[in-house]
Amino acid sequence: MLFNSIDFALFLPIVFLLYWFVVNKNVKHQNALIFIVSYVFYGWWDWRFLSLILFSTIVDYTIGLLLSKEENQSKRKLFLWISILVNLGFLGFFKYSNFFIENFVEAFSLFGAQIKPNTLNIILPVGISFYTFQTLSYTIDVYRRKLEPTKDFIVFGSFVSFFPQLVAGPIERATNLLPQFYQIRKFNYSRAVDGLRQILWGLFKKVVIADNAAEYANLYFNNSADYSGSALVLGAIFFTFQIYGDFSGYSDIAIGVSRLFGFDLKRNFAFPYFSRDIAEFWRRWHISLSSWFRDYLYIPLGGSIGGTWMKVRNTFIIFLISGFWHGANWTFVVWGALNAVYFLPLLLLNKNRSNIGTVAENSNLPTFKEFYNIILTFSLTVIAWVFFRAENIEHALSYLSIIFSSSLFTIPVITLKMMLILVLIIFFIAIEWLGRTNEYAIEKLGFSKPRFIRVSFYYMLISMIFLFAGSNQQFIYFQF
Amino acid sequence: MQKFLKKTLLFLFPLVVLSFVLDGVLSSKLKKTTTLFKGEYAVWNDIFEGKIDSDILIIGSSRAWVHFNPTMITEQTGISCYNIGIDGHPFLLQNTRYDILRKYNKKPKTVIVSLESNSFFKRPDLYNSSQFLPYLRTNKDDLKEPLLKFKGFNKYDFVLPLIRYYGNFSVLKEVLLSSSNSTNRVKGFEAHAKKWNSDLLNAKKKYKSLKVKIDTTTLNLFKEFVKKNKAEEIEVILVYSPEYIEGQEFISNRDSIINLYKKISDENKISFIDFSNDSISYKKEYFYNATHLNKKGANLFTQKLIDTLNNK
Repeated sequence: MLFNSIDFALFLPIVFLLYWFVVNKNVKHQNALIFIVSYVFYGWWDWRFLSLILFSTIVDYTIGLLLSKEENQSKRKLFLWISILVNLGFLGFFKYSNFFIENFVEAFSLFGAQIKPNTLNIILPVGISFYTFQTLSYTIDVYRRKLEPTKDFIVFGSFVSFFPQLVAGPIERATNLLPQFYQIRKFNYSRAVDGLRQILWGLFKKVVIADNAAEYANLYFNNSADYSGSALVLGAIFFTFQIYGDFSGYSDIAIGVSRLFGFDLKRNFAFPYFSRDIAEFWRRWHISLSSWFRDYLYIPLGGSIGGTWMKVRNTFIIFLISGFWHGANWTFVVWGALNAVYFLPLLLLNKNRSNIGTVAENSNLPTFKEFYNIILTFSLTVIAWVFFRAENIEHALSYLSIIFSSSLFTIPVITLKMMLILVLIIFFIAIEWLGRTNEYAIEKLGFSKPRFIRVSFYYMLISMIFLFAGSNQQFIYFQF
Repeated sequence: MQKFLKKTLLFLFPLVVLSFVLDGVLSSKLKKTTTLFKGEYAVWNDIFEGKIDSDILIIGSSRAWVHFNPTMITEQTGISCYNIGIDGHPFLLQNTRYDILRKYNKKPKTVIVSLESNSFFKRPDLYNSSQFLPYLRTNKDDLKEPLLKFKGFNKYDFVLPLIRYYGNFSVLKEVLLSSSNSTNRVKGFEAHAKKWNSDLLNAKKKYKSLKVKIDTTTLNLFKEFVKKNKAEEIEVILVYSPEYIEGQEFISNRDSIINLYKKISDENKISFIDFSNDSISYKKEYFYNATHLNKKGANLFTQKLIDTLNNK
């Protein structure tokens, strides 16, 4: 079920009313309802893959209990590895098996051995990368004794399959989300209103910004040989806003929906395109994934303790794996590597934590230096996104070679519709800038103004969603 | 909670009211913009308003729409004629249009079916879907079941107000900017005074040749259509209007398709008039692409058809 579908628009109020009016007296009943509706939500896409989530849930629930009872360290380690192998095994099979088969065949052909590729016809279960990482965080935290395992299967099942964030995150930690299932949830008016506001903003980002930007990103990327360098720059910028609007829009809706049910999810995006360096960008982009890698991979690898070489090595490992997590294609690996290269100077000069706070926190506009840094970081990001969006490495390189040719200095053809989308993107950037000190852009926007101005603004957003909704319905991150 | 629900409903109330009002206004304005979407609104309006009281009906796709001139037929035979050719759609949707016509209009005496290689092809998408927008809610009983067979609308579009206009900025823009209520379609027919274009050349560049897949369900539906009309004493005449000769060679299984039409005609003892080898088919000047006659070609073809029918 897509968040931007009529099905979901009907599903949400029904579940909301059942949750707060029918099962509101008992937290166990509320959890049971969440468990059931989450499976309905996922099964709406393809019910066959419910068994996969259920199996992962049973394995990690059981291993969690075994880990808490077992004192023998080597047995505990064995249990942990079983969980890791089962979860990553599923992920590897569904997401990466064809990639490895193809590359294996290609590698052999380099040595003259011709093997007939026998790739599998595999459907990638939506959200598998997200819920796999979420359940892994549980078993690892239980193994580390940072978390007491739950004995309540429904609570654990609800944690794994919690419908607002099941298919595209934010990737929740058991330490944050699991305890919330035990708390008595009382309806909170302000939180619910805030949730609706964030849902509205998320929908605007997805439907107006991402889906419209997608139309031109697809046009330029799918026919890159036919366009000039300047037009391809526009194409890369459109994709830059497509992926941001799409993914952060999904996260906003997920967080907003969770808030309607009394849950607080992790923030996943913090205005990343206003970052002044790449390190800051990565503290603001897909925060739940970056922090997952930091806690469960970077730190266990030694983090930054072992000196410069260790820091560089670990940073590259994190970025490469993070890239590979996004998809079974070398483009994602190169995208990760490129970001690691961007990161390197900051790491070597020990400047990776220079920009921690919000940009221009106490003023309306950035300083010239801040503006220059934002533009530079944004440009580097745009170049990296070319690899992320391209079909393959050759496509990305040819796309970039056209950008960095003399045709970069020609004036691209801009249609009226494209102009309209650019105006919408500028409007979006302006609103994001105004709200950059908040959790999300319109969290407190217009709070100092009379109520009718705020309400009018919400009506305006709804009208824009209705009028300018793009045609691309699927969320990009569903494929990851 | 009560406060939340009350305020949410208060916030949504104007939107709901507005959606009903806007739906009515947009749909009504759209129906009048008869120049849009190949002028199909003009035909749909006539169908739904029961204005087609013709004795001869032409049904088919774009080849019916631009080939058969009902005014000429009426003038020369004295029998009223209307062309309900629907652009881009094989027989499945042509039949839907005919069924709806029969519901709101008088029974015709003769139905001329314009055939082509693609008549029994199954098209998955709802081409030119905007032509249905203003009628979806008001005529859902007629349209819901047949249109849901295609990829285009979903079940909510037939029930909820305004939903089907969601994101349809181009349609809304046309509605707001369009001031012309005139239509180029006369009794459903539209003459195209166009010169030969590069469609065939482009198709040949893209494909060496094309093999048309016959959809069994559509074929059976057609056979049923013929039988039903015969049972109602409506004369059915099958016509394969001219196709430019080079385009005929492009369809690899064209001969077997023509044979299928002959077989249906023989089995049901109905006329099948094939203009594939008519002199028109050999002259590029009568066409604007391989399958569509221009104004000159359409009028010449209609004249030849009238002559053939008179001599029958």
